[in-house]
Amino acid sequence: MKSRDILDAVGEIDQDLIEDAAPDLNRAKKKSKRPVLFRSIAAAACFVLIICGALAARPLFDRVNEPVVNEESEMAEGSEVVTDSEDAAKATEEERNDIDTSDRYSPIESAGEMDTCGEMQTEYCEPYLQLVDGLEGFDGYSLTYIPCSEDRVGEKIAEININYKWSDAPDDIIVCNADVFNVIGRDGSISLCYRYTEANGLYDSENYYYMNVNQASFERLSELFNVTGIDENASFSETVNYSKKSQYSYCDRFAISEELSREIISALKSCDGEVDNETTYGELLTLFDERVTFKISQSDYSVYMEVTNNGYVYCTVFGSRVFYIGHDAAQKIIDLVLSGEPVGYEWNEEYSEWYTICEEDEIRENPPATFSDMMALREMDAGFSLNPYVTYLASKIKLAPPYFILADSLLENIEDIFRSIDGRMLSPNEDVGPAYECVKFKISREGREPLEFHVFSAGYISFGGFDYMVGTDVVEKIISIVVLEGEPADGYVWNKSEERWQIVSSDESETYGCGVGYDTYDYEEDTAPYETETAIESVIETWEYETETAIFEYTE
Amino acid sequence: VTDSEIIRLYFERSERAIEETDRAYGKYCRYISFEILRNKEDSEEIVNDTYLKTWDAIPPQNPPILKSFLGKIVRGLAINRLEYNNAQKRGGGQIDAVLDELYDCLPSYDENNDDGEHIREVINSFLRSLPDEKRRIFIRRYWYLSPIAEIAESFSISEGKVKMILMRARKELKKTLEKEEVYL
Repeated sequence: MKSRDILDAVGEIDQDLIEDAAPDLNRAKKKSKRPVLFRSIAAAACFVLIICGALAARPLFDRVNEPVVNEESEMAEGSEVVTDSEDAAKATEEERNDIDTSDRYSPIESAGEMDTCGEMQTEYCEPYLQLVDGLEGFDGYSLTYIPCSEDRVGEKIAEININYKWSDAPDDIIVCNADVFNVIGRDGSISLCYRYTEANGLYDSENYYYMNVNQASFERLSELFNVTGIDENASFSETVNYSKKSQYSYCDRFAISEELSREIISALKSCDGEVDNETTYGELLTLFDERVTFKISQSDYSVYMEVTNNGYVYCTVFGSRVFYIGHDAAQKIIDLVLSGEPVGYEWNEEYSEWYTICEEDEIRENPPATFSDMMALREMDAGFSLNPYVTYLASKIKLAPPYFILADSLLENIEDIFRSIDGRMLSPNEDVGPAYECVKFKISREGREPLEFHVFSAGYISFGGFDYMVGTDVVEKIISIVVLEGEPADGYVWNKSEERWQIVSSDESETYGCGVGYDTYDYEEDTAPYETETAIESVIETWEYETETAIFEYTE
Repeated sequence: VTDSEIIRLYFERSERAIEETDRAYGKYCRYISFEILRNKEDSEEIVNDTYLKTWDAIPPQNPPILKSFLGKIVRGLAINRLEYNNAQKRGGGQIDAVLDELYDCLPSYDENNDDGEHIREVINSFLRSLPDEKRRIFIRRYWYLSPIAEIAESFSISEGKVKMILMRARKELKKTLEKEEVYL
């Protein structure tokens, strides 16, 4: 039937609804000036907003980690500084009042509050906060945050409280204080050297972590933080080796305009959020029905974010943590992101999803030859589901996933991924939604039994009798490494027509292939769980997790 | 002059009722009319017709919200005029775009047309279930037939977001209509 009937039906709605939505005709004319004014203040506000971007997480962050300095003195410092940035913020505020968005969140509600250091100190704040945010990037540590202020220049960068659980320790949680020193490499990399002693006195160690800052930050930091030495040998490549976390490569999802990114940052700023230490990334993935992933890039840093409409934000700048910001705020951010334009994607009206412009057929014809190519392809990924190409890869092997033999270099790759994940054990019988086994492989160490890994599309990995939720992005990465660069175990051939690995002998069609010196095993029989304690020990031994990088929190 | 005073003038059959109506709501009526017709002369004519219809309708009717009452009349007259105009020549105004968009909402066709009152209740209920901003945007688009750009400006959001909100609202409306077995 006709749209006209719907139009007529809508025409008959209640009068109060019509009245409520009536356009404000008196205000319509005034608004035409708004973009001009916005443009005029944009330049003035830009600098402050960039700083504010780095500061965007602080209120959330501060609630978890109480500042060392008292708030009164901090506020007093901030109030003394009257800057152009405040004028700009004021102008913005006036303009907003003019257009009356009282029922919406305020995009830049209180620039003064965000910029606690004021303009006089922002040049210090920017690298400082990068540093602090970077510190947050390491799992298992919570940082005691020291707000930036001029009179603190030259003090220690930060104090770190190390919180971790280790099954062998007499107490589950050992909290240690550690001094932090800083050594800055000529290329701008910073090493944070902290020394810690466990509360029980059993362990004393030094550890190094690296992160990269740009040259400008490097120079300012050199002045600001009483540099204790120059690490001539610290190069960017070394930092990559030492800190996979900071180098963790996420794909570009949406290309967010600067204006939009400011809005999103401000939206986050206006959220009354807090760190949710209970919800893991894996759980996050099972609880939403709408999700956007995007990367906000400012001049010298970028933030990967994943926002789900159940109120959570997964965000790398805060150290790959999950924040709860509430449904409303999350929805606002989702709407903002969806109003942006994705790169390499087009909106599919029918399925209400962004779809890659690069069709699977094209990928099939020109599959990426290397892992780097694969990652380059992923740069286009704005997906709301598994990367299409990985899904395609997985589809090739899902019927009978063969074991893959991995070169040592690949093993290291996968180990590094495993070390950097913020995962959790799935509880028995936990429903993680539909899943199929994408790939399985074995990792063996000299003199040790190989450990089998089964990777599932729902974002978890099964090994040693445990199911471990790591998230679909990690699963994708592992799949792509294994499938693209690994060789399937002996006994498999590539079936071109069906585009999947196939067992050579039809007699073995009922069993799955084996590799790395394993005998053929019956898949059905192998589903029985291992003895729990044995499996835990096996995992620990096999992976040789060091205490400071342990990410597993075992519970009885 | 308040609404009740204007309505009292209608009941007294005072021609001042038209003057006061125009003073209070002329701009509003012209806005609706022009958004649909995109023609100043036609819009003005429709507004005058609206006053005439209002004069005929009150009494016996005693509208609780005069503004919306006038809005409904002017909207209906303007759409009718547009249909008449379009019969001569296609194009103009927001109506074609709006009709295209609303095509999404149409449930599966059924021979049994539903009664108007039920449809009105379903749509009212649907609109009341929406968040405030979403509801206002929907009504601005599909009742007032305001252009996307203007809605975006009014709500200080991007046009993309307006489109997104409308698209989702249409889908929700379609689901609601199907669930309520409303077949237009």
